[in-house]
Amino acid sequence: MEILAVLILACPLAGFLINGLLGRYCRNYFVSIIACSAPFASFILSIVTPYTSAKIFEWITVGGVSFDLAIKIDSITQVMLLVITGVGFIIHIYSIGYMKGDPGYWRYFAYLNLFIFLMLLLVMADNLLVMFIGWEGVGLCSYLLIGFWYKDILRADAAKKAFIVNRVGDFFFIIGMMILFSWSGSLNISDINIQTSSSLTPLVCIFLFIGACGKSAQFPLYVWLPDAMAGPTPVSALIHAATMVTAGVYMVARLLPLYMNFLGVLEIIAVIGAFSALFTSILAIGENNIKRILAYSTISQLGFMFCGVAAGSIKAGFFHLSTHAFFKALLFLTAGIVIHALDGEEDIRKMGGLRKRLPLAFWAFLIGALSLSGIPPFSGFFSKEEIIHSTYHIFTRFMSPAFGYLITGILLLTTFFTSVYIFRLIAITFFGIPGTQKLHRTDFSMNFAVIVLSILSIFGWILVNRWDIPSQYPQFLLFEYDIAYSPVHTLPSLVALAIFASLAGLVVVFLSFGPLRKKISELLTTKIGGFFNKIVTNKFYVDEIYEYLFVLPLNMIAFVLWYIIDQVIIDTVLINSSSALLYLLSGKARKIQTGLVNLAVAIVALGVVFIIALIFLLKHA
Amino acid sequence: MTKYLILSSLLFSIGVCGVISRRNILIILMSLELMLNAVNLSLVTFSRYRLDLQGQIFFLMILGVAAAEVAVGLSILIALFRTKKSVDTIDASILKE
Amino acid sequence: MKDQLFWLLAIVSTLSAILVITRKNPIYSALYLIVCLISLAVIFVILDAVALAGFHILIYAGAIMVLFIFVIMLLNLKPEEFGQEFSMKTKIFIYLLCLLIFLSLAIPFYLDNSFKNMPDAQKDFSSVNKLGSLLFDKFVLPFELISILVIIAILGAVVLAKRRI
Repeated sequence: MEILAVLILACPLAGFLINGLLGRYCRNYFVSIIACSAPFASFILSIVTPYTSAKIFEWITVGGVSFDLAIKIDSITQVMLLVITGVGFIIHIYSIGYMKGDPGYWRYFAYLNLFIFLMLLLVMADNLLVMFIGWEGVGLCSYLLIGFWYKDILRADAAKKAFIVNRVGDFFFIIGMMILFSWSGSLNISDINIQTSSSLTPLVCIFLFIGACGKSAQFPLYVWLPDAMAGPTPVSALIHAATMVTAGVYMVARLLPLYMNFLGVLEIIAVIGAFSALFTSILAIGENNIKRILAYSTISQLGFMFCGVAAGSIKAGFFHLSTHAFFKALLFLTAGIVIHALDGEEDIRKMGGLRKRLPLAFWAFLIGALSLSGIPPFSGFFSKEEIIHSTYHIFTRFMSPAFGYLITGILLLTTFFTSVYIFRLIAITFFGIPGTQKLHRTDFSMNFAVIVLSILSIFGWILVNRWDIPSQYPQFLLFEYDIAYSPVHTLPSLVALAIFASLAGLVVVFLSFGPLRKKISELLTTKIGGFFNKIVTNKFYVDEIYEYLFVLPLNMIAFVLWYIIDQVIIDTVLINSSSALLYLLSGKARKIQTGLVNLAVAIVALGVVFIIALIFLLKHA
Repeated sequence: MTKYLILSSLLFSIGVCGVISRRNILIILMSLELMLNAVNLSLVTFSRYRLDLQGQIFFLMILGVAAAEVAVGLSILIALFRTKKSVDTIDASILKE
Repeated sequence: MKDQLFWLLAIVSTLSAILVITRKNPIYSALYLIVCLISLAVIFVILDAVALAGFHILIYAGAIMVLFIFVIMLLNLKPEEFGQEFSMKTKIFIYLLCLLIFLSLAIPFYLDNSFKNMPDAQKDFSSVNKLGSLLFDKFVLPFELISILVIIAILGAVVLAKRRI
């Protein structure tokens, strides 16, 4: 049965190799066939493979310690596998239409397959080192795909920014791994999770969490995600909505038995998650680029997931992860249809009235938006409910009640803002006066993918119901469900509050674009209103702060190192002058050769004297 | 016996002095002979000291070698004299710098 | 008696050696070299190596130096062709160097205590008989090689000195 697990990894890898090496010589048709069949095969295999673990080979053996390339599939992994391969497959289908005609077609699909392979490696890893391979690898694929149209310098810069910020997180990840290895002697996840606490463990947990922040774009390492929208839209959908950014959540969930020993660390995770959620939902209101709004939305929803996992409820976090994958991918792909139709236009102020002109896009986007804001009976409602209930019940019971109220309150406020920004987006883009430019035809594959995801966004929650988590993970069985969602410990008032928050956002948007339109624009021109408007639309100046704090000093240090140390000191002083000195000395030494026999014999005689003196001294000293 | 050896080293160093300080090739060759003779003296001294005739046999060998070397050296000198018309070493120093 | 004779001969050989290297005219140098060689031969006699003394005079003073004098006469150098000398400064350095050489050779001999006494020997500890028997018995290989060397030297000398090969 282990061979099936290995095959799940092998299919996308084979797809990458074939497309990467031979793709440029084949027609697009063959490239798409190979590229799309890989995740599909992995998807089928993921359904079929039972829970197993496999050791592929012994990788590093050093001084009695060995690390193997070992993979393990249990129920947590299986959820991730299904989401990655399933949503990945749908996005591959979508890409056939979106990337049609692009000269780098084969390169795109090769990278996508590589990404799938590395992400699968990450979730199937049995020890932290293998997980780190996947971790770094998906960072690399993210870089390659964001900068896919690399000839544009802005896109290349965005790719660099993504990789560098990611690297900051990875640095902490590595340090955490090293500390963990030094006192536990092993990096296997099962060994780590049974560690009893030592004084260094909270530090390790925090470092690993910082690594997760870098990958999953939480505050303060979120700045790369909005800029990462420079990549093709399916890439944004797959990597920066459904899969790569969830790697951080997955990692924290995997190591949850370790984290559960330190409630303080869990509090920190919850605070950062909740803060990121609130902060970026406010930022999304001020954005005008359709993909950037969705990017901020992703960060916000990831904050939700972190809160759920920090509360110890893996079910909550992963439920939301799955439904988020569905509706966020849907939103991105639909945005991609809009962008594709408008020939690359991404600014929503230049769109309008697309409701009548792109009906499929409108309805799909609406479904996604309703799911995102958590309005029943869409999937997003159930998963969001799960998280809010987890934070409320668990935090109030195991930590202070004040903390529980605080987190739950922040999450509810975020729900309100979520509705505001997403319905604002719909209002500006799809309503209003339609433009008159010619729309590009949407490919069948794109429509197909969007339809499938719409269905999943509505009914997907049913599929995620049935799974148990392994015994060593905390079993907060707040909810027992079957097909008819019948929660046991739900608080009706909390549910009502959440629905109220979502609907309130919708109402606010409706009002501000309808009857209260004038009043709102007046408010924005007042001193306080204008001030807030300016801050929010400039993203709270976070990028500028980073520029002054980190980028400028680093540039100066680099300049000093390059110019002064490398050019002046090493090149001129050390190298050039030592060679000049040598030249001078050898010029002088050349004159010894006069050709006279006498001088030669004299030198021989001198040598003989030296040797005799040496022997004499050595004998008598 | 020490005095014989000291005399030998004295003659040897005088020979070295001759080779280095004179520029006439003939004198150089003669100083070379002087050096060889100094060594011969020390050989015979040691042979007498150890009462072993090997030193004297070696002496005879050196004698033969010296003879051969003088013959060849002088003919080279004559060949050199034919081209350079001089027996000064400085006129033979083509391998400069 | 041997001691005084030795000192006399030492002075003679040293003086003539110094005179060899300082004369401008090569003929004078050659003649002084002959004096030095003869005094060395007498020292050999003191050292009970009478046969060697004979060989020494025969071959060295008799053949080699005669060859030297022949070549000197053949070259027929005029006094201005005797060759330039080095400057006084260079000569001082050279003399110092040779002093160094002498010291580096003589001091170890002087300080070494194992050479003080010469053992007694029979009268004929070295004779032509004994030398001959050694030469044809233990040392026949060097003997033969020396003869080959001499042949080669003859050939070389003849070839090198030809006007036209």
